[in-house]
Amino acid sequence: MDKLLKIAKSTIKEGIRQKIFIAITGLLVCFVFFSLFLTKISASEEIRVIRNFSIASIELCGLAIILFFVIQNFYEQKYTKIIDIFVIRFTKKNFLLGKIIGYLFLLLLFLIASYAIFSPVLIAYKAFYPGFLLAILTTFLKLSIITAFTILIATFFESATLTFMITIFFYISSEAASSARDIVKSYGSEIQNSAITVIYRILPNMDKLDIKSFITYGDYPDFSFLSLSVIYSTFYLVMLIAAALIIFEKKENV
Amino acid sequence: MSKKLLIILFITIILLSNQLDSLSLKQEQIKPIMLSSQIPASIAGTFNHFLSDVFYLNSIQIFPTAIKPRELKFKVLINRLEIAQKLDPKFLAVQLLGGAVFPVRQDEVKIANQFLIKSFKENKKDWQIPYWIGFNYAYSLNDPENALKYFKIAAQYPDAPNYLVSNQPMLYYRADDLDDGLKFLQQLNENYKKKGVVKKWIESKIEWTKDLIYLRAKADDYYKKFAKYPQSLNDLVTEKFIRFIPEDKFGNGYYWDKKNLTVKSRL
Repeated sequence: MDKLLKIAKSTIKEGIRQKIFIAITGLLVCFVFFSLFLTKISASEEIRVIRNFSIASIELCGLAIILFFVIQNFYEQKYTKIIDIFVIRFTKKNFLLGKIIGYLFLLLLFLIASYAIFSPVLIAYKAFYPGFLLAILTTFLKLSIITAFTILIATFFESATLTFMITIFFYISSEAASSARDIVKSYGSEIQNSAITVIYRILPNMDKLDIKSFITYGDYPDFSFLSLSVIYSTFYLVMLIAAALIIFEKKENV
Repeated sequence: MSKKLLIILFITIILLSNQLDSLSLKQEQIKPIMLSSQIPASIAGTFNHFLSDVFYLNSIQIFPTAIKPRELKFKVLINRLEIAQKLDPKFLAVQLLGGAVFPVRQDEVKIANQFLIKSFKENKKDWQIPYWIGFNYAYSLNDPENALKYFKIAAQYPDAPNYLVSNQPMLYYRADDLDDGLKFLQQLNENYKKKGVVKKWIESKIEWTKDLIYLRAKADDYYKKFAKYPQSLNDLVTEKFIRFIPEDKFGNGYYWDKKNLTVKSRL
């Protein structure tokens, strides 16, 4: 446990020191100013626009952290063979779990900081309400699944670019799976319908982890919906981490 | 040397950008493309509300531009709002812009009303949509039959304001323009051929408006005789201007509004 936390701590330290982390935070600050501009042209829909824009930009910046920091950091250690040194001292399992914990903690830290950055604008436009705290949770769960998936792919492939592309593809397909299922339900054949249902069940159901639609109108999700979403995403996350650990353990050359 | 070269390159880029600006297409020359509403809806995922806002803001941005002909501009506006609506059917401002704010000419109102009718199929939650449809039918498309149909739908919503029950004549009533209100109702009655609840509603509204006009005229008679208006409608009965105060079929009784010197109904 102690070894695992050491790896996590070092990952967090690495992350905070990285320029990309600061650059994405800077980008988020630019989004805050852009949101102020959007309110000026939103024709009395300021609250809605600012809520949607803040949530969407925070999630996209979180995704950027995964794409540009997590992948880069993991492959950097792979390419420079630092992993080999770590693995000798800490075991493969501890190393990978520690890395994942570190990445997830960094992500959570970033999300909390992002909401703090957006808060003054949200409060100034009376767009803030406690539902935003739930949004931090669900956005974190969504991005945690993407992080775990990225690590799973990174343990499998040697190319960072390939992992980058697969992660983007995975994110878009998980986001679009629900709409695709609705379209196929209306226009597709029986076989297409069954195929898309299977794909939808396999991919993480991002629509079930989303409370953006509630936030837009200042509503709250049902407790049963929220708790089931948390359970679902936790199981999905654990499954991805377990798969990554199995692959990583089996690999001779990490 | 390399620094100088960089500065020269940078200045050249700025100058070229400026030059390109003057050569680029004028707003009138830009032919905007019509987008399918299905595509953004199928790829938006959980970002549907955010994308809906993007298309909504895009329509606001297109509105003041000089895209010609005007018909094309209006079609593009409706196209963008249709996409925004598809992405978030509950986004009421989209329906307001497309259905009631952007359309000016009759042909535009026709398209706008089709847009609203389509929106209404997907969002049955808000009374405003059938109200705007009815409003367009009544004021721009001269179709009182459909106007009444949608006004009645709007009036049935629990959160709809009370005035929707008697909508149009109510507007005249509020404006203290009862004569025009009566004319409107009589015209509506002439055009509405079908017998039934709607017909009965119009007829009783006519009677209600006539009662208000009648009481108002008697109050004027009272003024001519006593050089002051009555304190209440009962004064008209006491001084034998009227035999009794007629029954108020829509409100909880007529009364004399001392502030505005007119007859009102307790709605």
